[in-house]
Amino acid sequence: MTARYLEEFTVGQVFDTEPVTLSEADMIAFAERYDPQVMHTDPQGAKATFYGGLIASGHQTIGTAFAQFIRLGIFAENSLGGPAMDEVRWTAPVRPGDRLETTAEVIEIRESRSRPDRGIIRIQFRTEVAGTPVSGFQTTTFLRRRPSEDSA
Amino acid sequence: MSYWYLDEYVIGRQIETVPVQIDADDIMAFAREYDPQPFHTDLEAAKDTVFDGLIASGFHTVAIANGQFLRTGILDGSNLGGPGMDNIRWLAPVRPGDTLSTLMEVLEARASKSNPARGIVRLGITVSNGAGVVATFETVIMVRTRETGAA
Repeated sequence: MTARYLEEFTVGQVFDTEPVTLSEADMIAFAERYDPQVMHTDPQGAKATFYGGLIASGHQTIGTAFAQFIRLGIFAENSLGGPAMDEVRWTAPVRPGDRLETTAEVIEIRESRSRPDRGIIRIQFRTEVAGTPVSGFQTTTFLRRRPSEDSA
Repeated sequence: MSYWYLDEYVIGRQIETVPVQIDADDIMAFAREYDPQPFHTDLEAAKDTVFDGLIASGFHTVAIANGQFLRTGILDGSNLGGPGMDNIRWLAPVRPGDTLSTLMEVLEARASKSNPARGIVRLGITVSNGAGVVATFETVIMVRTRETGAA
């Protein structure tokens, strides 16, 4: 896919992303740095926790979901960065080898009042493993509008 | 520091974490996996973006704050999971060489209605880089109440 301008999105549009799995080693490497807790870093110790085994850091799950969306290439050079994320929810554990399937639904589009070259797009991400929701979050991104003919 | 039970999460109580410096390699390594956009993954290409140079992924900034918070030890043995985060705001870019300081403040703390062995705590996290605040967010965690923590 090629980069889209703000005008090329509509509320309700849903993008499917490429499924991805995280290995035990991926989970441990991430968590040692960013979420050092037994259930994320120690396969043996994790067995004695509430989770009964190693699970991914929720931060890794949401980053993985976002990356799969970025890899679609539809924001690409039209993204001007994101000022916010809301309603991050971790609803079920993610375990090594789980196939993470993420969808991205456009939930809001608006033009910027102060900057005519851009607008704001909000996206609801949902990640499932075998049909069970494991995480969700909403992002807010500044996105370029299509340049007008006379400014081109 | 030992871990905190629910009753130690007094509203307004604050804890500072150990500052951590972030370099360009860290920024790019994280972003290649979790936020592959040119202003996060490519030192040269980032110069031609609206940010005029490499900046850290906002997911990275939040994850660093989370790691430093956990290293305080106040959750060790007490954490029963985290259902989510709210109101994440990325207020200023984080650049290579920045040293990030994270301040945590207790915003809410209450016992669970359904499970008296646990409490639900909302923490406000503020991340600064020396020049000012770069990110704020709220995280919700479940912690042990003292009665069951001793069991």
